[in-house]
Amino acid sequence: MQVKFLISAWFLSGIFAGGFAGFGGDFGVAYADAAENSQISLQSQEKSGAKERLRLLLGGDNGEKPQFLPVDDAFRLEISPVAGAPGQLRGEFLVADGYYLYRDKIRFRSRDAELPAALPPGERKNDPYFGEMAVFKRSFSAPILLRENWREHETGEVRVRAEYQGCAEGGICYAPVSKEFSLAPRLIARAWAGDAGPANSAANSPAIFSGAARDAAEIAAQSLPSPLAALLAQSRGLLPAAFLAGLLLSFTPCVLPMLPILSGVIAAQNAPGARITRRRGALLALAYVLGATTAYAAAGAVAGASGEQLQAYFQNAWVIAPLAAVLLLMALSMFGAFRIEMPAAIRSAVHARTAGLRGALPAVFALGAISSVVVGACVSPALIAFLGVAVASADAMLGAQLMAAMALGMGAPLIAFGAGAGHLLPRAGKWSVAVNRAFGVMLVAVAIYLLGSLPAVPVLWLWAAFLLALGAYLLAARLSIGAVHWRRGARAAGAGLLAWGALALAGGAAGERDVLRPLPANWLAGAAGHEYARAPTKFTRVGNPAELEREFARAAAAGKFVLLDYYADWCADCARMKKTTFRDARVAALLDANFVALQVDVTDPRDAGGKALKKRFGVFGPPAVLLFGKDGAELPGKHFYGYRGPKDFHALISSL
Amino acid sequence: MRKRIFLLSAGALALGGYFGWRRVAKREAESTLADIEFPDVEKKLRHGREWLGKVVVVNHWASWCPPCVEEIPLLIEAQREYRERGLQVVGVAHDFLDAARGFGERLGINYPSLVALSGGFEIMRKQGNAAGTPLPFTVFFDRAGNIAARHLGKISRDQLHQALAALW
Repeated sequence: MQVKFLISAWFLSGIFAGGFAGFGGDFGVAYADAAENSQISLQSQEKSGAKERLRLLLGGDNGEKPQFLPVDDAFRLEISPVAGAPGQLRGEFLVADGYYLYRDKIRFRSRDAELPAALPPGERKNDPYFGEMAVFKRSFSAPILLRENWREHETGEVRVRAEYQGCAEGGICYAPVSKEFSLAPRLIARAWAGDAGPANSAANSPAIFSGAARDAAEIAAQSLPSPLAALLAQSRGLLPAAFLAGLLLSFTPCVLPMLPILSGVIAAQNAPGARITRRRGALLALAYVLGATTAYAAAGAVAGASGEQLQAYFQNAWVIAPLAAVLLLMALSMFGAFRIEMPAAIRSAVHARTAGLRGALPAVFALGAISSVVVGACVSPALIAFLGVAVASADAMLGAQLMAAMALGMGAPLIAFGAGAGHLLPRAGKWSVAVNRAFGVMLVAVAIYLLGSLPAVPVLWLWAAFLLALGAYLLAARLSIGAVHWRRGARAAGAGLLAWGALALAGGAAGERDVLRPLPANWLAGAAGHEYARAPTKFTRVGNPAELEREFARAAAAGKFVLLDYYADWCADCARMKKTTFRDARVAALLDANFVALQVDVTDPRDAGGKALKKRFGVFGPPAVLLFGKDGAELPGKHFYGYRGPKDFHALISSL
Repeated sequence: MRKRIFLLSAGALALGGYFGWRRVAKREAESTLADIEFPDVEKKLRHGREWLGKVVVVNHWASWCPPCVEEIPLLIEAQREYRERGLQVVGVAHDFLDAARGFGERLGINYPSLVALSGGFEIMRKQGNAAGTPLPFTVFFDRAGNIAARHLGKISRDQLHQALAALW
């Protein structure tokens, strides 16, 4: 039975792994983007595609219905280094027919210093209210001068911010536009040395960020538990931190599906007369772990080299749903519902191979690699954190090392298990049935957990069903094994699970998603005597960097600080903060008086504006709250990522 | 028997998954007059529901937008002419308060001039100005406070009267 189970599980995972590789990123479903910093191009970062060409219809009119282009189609800007002319950039503006830009509203800035640009004179336009103005009705280009000694002052990539504003002859004006351009100094230097080729293809090559890796590490640290965060904060501690993270993760139910598979493999060794020695068990487990490590290292190397974040592959509905299905099938087979049988020919062929230890090792290695897909989906928050560091530093070797360290950490307990397997695994009998059932239960739990990362799934209902069923079973079933106090314990546990299940049911009805905190936070907090403002803090949504700039300007005019909150529908901590921290009376009062509260909705990982805003401040994913002074300057020491309760938050913002 | 259970549960899972997946589309409710809430140039907070029962014309403008400034005299005239019939023009300036107030005084604005310090673009988007942030953008609300018509760009006298005619 165990061999059959093992083989079939292997086959199924193989199929789904293949399917997952094929489906790729088109069906992105939400979770945090690891690092968007890798997009490097000198072109505007917001591209307008066909789907952004919206027809602006006029309502209630008769006659002409003019179409206005979206602002990024009406005006396009490209900035590139001038080959062979050190210190010079060229800005090329493309102006659509029937549109014009105001000459005196065009500005280029780098690190808050204005860059001199020699704009052509443009054409005269007479306006009844604003008098004579110089405008550009046609495309033009202008040289921009970077400060001569920029190399001494700039570390990391060069950032230029361009501002411009224009109107359409048809009678509308666009709000002032602000766009950020960035390029690695290495590539600029090459261009200025006269090597025109690579700079032109700069749009396609990966970024070379120097200072970003450290920042990424700090940010990654915030999303991990605090003992790891301290280690991670120093770059030297990255590898040990990854190993430790893996070790901690192995104690989560995520790694548990591996145990039945592994135990199946080891038990299979038992059959043909050879006893399982510690050495043999440990070797098998080692082969398994090495398989997983290789898979992870490969993923890390790809992430580092290409600069692409792979999390979309993990958190994608097309991947999660089949994986959850596989786990459920495995669970069902653990409960004895059916046996998964493979055709006899394959069975005997594989059985012959896995009979001897030598034959088993490659098979087990492959199994480890494949099952890393399942585990990877489950532990993706940690993966994302570490992958983010690899991506930001664009270092394939570092990526591979980090992932390998983490996989080894996850696998270490498995090796220990393998060594002790001969003694731990029960022979056939009542206990073995119970153990199988326990594994089955854990597999179902992992499947539900995986499904929970898809926002469309009412995960708390699933948890409720699971808990209620399990609780009822424990309470009602007459367990025939174990002493009396075991049974009493099981009944008590069953009652507890029933209660928890009921809470989950209530929470599910209220729209909560976290099984560990099933009740909406304000129910409990209300009981605890928290004071809630009648309405939560009102946030202004900003959809892209241009809107953000405008809000900064307004805040500066009003003399207020700025708070920028990154929010997503699927982010449980964000929802918690919305219900607790941002509803707190004192926090709301303080925010209303002194802050302009802005919010970016990053629910859709493909939204260009959201991506740009995340990239601008190096935010990987929500929750993230960034604070800015009255002058619009970032206050990096005051940023925080993750949940903060009302008291902490209040303390933080009053310290400004 | 076991096979049946298995098939049934697999089927249930598949169905459940399918319907759960379908439930993703989010529809934004259309914005109404009551969503408008901004301070005016005197720093007094104004609410859209103040004007329920009237035909409300919300005009989004800014001092850096020449076409916007050019059409304001037309709106001023309309406000004067149709005040008795229940017209209420409301200006929403996407601008600094001082600029809005200054221009307002210079042009002789005779209707409430609100300043959208924060949230202006969001409201405008909700009211249907879909692509980017072009101004001027004028929204017509019926007496119940629902959006009846929108106009992007400088509005002409004919267009204005035509839109109003349907709403009296």
